[in-house]
Amino acid sequence: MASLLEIKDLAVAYKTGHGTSHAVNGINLTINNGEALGLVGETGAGKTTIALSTLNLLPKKVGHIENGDILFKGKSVFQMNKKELADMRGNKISMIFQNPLTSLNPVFTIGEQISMVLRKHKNLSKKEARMESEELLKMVGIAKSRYDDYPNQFSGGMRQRVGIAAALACNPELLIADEPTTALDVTIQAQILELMKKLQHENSTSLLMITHNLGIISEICEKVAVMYAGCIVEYGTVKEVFSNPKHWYTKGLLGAIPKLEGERERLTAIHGNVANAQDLPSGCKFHPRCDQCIDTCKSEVPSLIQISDDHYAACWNMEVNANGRK
Amino acid sequence: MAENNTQPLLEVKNLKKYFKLKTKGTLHAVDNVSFNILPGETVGLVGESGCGKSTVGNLLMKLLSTTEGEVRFKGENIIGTKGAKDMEFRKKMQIIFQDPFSSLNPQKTVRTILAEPFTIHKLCKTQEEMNKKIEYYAALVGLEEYVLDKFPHELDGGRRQLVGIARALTLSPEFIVCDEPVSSLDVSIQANIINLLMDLQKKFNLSYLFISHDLSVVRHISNRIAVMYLGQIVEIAETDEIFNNTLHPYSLALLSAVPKIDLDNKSQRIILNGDVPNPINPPSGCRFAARCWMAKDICKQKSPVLTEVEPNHCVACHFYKESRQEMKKRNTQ
Repeated sequence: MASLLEIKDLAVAYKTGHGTSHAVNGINLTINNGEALGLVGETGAGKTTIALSTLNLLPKKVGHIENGDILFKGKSVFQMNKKELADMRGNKISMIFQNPLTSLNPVFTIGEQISMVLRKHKNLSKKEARMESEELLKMVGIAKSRYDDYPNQFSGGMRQRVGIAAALACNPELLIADEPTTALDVTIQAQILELMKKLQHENSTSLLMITHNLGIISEICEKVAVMYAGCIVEYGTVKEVFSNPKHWYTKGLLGAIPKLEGERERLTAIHGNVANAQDLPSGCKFHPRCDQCIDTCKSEVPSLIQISDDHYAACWNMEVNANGRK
Repeated sequence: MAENNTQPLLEVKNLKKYFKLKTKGTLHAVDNVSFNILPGETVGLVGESGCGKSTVGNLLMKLLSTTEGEVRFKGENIIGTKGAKDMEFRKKMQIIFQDPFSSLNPQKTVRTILAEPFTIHKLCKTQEEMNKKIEYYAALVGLEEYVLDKFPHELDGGRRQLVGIARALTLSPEFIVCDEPVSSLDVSIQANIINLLMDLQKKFNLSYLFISHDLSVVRHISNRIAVMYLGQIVEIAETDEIFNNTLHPYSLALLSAVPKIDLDNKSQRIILNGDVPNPINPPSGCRFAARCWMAKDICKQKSPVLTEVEPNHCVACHFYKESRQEMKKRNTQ
């Protein structure tokens, strides 16, 4: 499989009057054609920063790329000129935003907003764009008679579906979904997830799914990267990582979630708070909250170690299996 | 409702809350809701946004006026009481709010926030006594002492929610409404708060009404679960019963909709069409009929009544037997 998106040693910092926040600290990620990668982590782990960097959408003057590069089909997104960027955004890479209430423009009808994408990138006439937009609306389950309605006339779930229709208008090669269902109810979330699964299956779009919900990852993605304080602490296939977690943070996360089946055990809480990006600890970023912390953790940054074919973790003190293998 | 040997701490009978709208008629936020809560019990209230969960919580706390119905606390109706008597009830019933960012006064330090209940109910004679009590409750929920002299904006979400919990505990209540207490927090912090709430319950024999849209959290903490849809309770039963022997089609769909960590991908999902209908002038008949895949003519004409169909298991559906068969079929697949 050829790699579609390559993130190399990416480090991003936000510089404001109050200091510097190190949001992303040296991340390597690859997304292959047709692959679905999940990015999990808590608030402030740097998930959204990665998404924005990929589209070169970091806020100017505040967001700085400190190091590294992002290659889309071998070409650096930071080297692209305005025209190339405009051609990439919404066409080859598109994004579904978290909040369906604020990501649509309230003064345009939803039909116009979808048509706009088509007319810009596919050079369609007004009439053709309308016809294709109506098809897209049908695909996401919205009646075409609602083409001329404004966003405020739709419910949250429907607005999110409009967002998805617009994002898929040009058959993007990579779809970035930033917490697409967090603001929605579970039954609506189920509709959206089912829709995304179907689309992924039919169009073989690559997907970068950003969420804090491990259940969604397990349903939609093949691979998962667990982030903590701007670093990837564990990476691998969903099956490997969730059934055999190696990093203590991943273990903590899995233990902290109440289960829907089986015995109700006491939750294993991770003590302390998420690391402050303005004042990151030395060594492993997770060490102040880790029960298995050893001296090395405090001073040296662990790198990702290969555990099996498709499973990596960055920890100095991993549990050793019965056979002596890490 | 089930016959129980112990007397319920809280009985809610035919509770109704209608909001009169200027333009379009009446919004039926809560319509004929009845349930009870035993001492030391947690009842979970689940449902989608706009189904009236929080309104029920607010009605119990008398933060909203009730249109009709009764709320009995230890046998006494608290709706309509005033003055000193009202103050007594309010001491015994507290609420923890969803959003720890907007439910704490930004102009006051944590100490002042925690002192307020004592001042209002005139419980402390000296400043020292009050400080001692404040420090006791802060330590109880695990807040460090330095936090007491900080303002809410200086704290993270988890600590803010701890302040909210400490505030609810100050008057040693017997009943606490937890209105989505963990939904704005990260999972690792959420686990802390859930563990704390369960520990406190054991320690003080508290009763909770736990309102949440997160089914896994509700399952973890509740003894019984009530499922709400559009202002009505459609099913209420013990936690394991409702998960293993779901009878109402809506509960069935709701349970199947939650994404789970399921590495074998066995689960089958019921996808509901459409959104929750508008609670303004709701249709007669079953309110779920428009989205229900088992609905027949009778559902649109006659509203099903919440009836006890099995011991301690009440459901409001004309076709709960068929629904159960469906459930069994899914489980064996």
